[in-house]
Amino acid sequence: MIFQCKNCGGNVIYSPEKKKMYCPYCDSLDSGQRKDTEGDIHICPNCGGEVPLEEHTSATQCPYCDNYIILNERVEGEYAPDLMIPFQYSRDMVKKLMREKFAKSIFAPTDFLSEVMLDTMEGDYVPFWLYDYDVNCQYQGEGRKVRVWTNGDTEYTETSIYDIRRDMDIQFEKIPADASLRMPDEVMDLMEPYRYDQLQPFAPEFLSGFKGERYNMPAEQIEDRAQGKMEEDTHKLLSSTITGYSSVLNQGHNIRINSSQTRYGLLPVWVYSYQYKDQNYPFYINGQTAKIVGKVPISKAKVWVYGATLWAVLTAILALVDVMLTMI
Amino acid sequence: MVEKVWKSGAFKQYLKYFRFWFLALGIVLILFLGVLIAKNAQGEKVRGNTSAPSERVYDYADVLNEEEENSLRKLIAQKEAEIGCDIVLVTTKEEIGERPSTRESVLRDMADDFYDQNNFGFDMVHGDGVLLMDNWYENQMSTWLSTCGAVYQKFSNQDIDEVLDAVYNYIEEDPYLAYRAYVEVVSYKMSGGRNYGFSVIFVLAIPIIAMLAFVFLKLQNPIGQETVPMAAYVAGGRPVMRMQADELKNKFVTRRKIPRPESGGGGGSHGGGGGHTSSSGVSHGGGGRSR
Repeated sequence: MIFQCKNCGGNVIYSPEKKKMYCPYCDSLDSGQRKDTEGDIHICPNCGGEVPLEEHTSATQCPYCDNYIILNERVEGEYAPDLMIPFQYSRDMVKKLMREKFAKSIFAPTDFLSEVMLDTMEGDYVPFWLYDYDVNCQYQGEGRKVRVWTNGDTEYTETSIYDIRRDMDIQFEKIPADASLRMPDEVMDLMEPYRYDQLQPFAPEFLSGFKGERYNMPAEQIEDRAQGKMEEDTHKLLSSTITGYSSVLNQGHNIRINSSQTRYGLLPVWVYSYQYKDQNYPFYINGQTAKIVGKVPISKAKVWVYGATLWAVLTAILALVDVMLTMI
Repeated sequence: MVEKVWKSGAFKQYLKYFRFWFLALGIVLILFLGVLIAKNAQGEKVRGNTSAPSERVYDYADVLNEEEENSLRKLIAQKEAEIGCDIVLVTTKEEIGERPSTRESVLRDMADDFYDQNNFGFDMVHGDGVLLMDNWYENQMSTWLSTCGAVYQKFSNQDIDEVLDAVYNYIEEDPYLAYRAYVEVVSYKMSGGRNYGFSVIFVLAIPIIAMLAFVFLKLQNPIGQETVPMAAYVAGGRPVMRMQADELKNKFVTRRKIPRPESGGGGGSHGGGGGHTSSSGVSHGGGGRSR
């Protein structure tokens, strides 16, 4: 499907700034009309050009007429997302943030923040599985509290031993794990947290103007990632209730999942692929919170030149001061 | 290449980055030139005392020949102009006692009095100067270095020892060389001698450490920070506690004697080595040695 402007026929896209459908050709708001097509999904419904698609692509841009195309069969039926967070940051907003954040990265290549390079940034709806767990955690341990005081020339050490018991219910909601092979897991973990108060039911309009994927694998296949996060958080929550002891001995704990549920959601990510000296430096920006994750390419030669300058100036200053002091 | 770097704005950025460093270097350089010019303009120091005799070498013990005395006088005249301190040498052959400690204290008074009575001092009477008195009486050979004014201010006991060390290196074989060493070491120490400078290791090591730390820090390249709070995915933000019990099971006390710490101490000083006041009321420093 594509969204066409009922005023001018141009391609209508979702604007994160205006929070509305917007026609960049005639500036109309909410003028989009859904236009569905049948037949070969590789054919652009606007111009008839052949659109290159990857196995999981659900939304993309036609390389000939620049229209944003959403593939019906990859966002409907079993691939219909339950939830999504629409992009809250537009390309221009993210460009500005990138410039602010890396303004002081003087060792980055000069074109790293150039307009031309930043314009290659892509907005991507990344498929996520969201896992709910109803968990019970039981714990038993032995804690020691030590108190030391002195009286005259004698030091007293009082040791108190406690029996620690915990039994708690934790309701985890929507622990995310990305269901995209293209996106590195550790980077997607760093994209978190998303603010779930902006989650809303899926609507294809939000995809217009962006790229997207359907889930690449079923929820069961990557569930261990969500469970890992759940167990880690459970341990942290548990330890936060055990305080005031100088040492604690774990005598056994048990985490039981009483019930679980999975939902399919799309979360927004801006991707900036920068190349420097034949190496990729991908940047990922959370499309909702604008959290930036990525390694800035660093020109080592430049760092050494600066380091050498620092060395030379410092040596000169110290040597001159030294000579002056001996002359006084 | 140069033009390319200039055009990309990288050089401007470089200058901007180091502007404070370059400014600091500029200031130090100007200060340095100022000190250098002042030092040169001073050139030979101007004598402020005209009451002292022009003689500096009093060889009463007759251990030097005429040629050696003249050579010493020439050297002393040159060094005096450089450091602005009188440098006096006196050799004697006096009976000053059997015990080295007595000899040194007698010699000290003799040296101080000689300096005071002759009105030595470069800047003024009893001003900046140094006097070496060397006694050659059989079995009562002792040496005293008397310091006054600026030399007294600057010389620590260690400095005085180093001068006497230099003298005693040669005194048995060649008194002339020993007295030359006296003049050389005194003038070296008074003209700087690294009393105030940094150590060479400091000057060389600090910049290298700074550079390596800088490069190390700048090559660090973090990808991003974990910012997920602990209870981000927990409904209500915290768990529901069904049971939370901390029961005291047991308690016991152990005791231990505290060992008494041993005490220690120490100290140090700089300048004004061997300070005392002579019979004519002038402050002198100094130190002696016997052979």
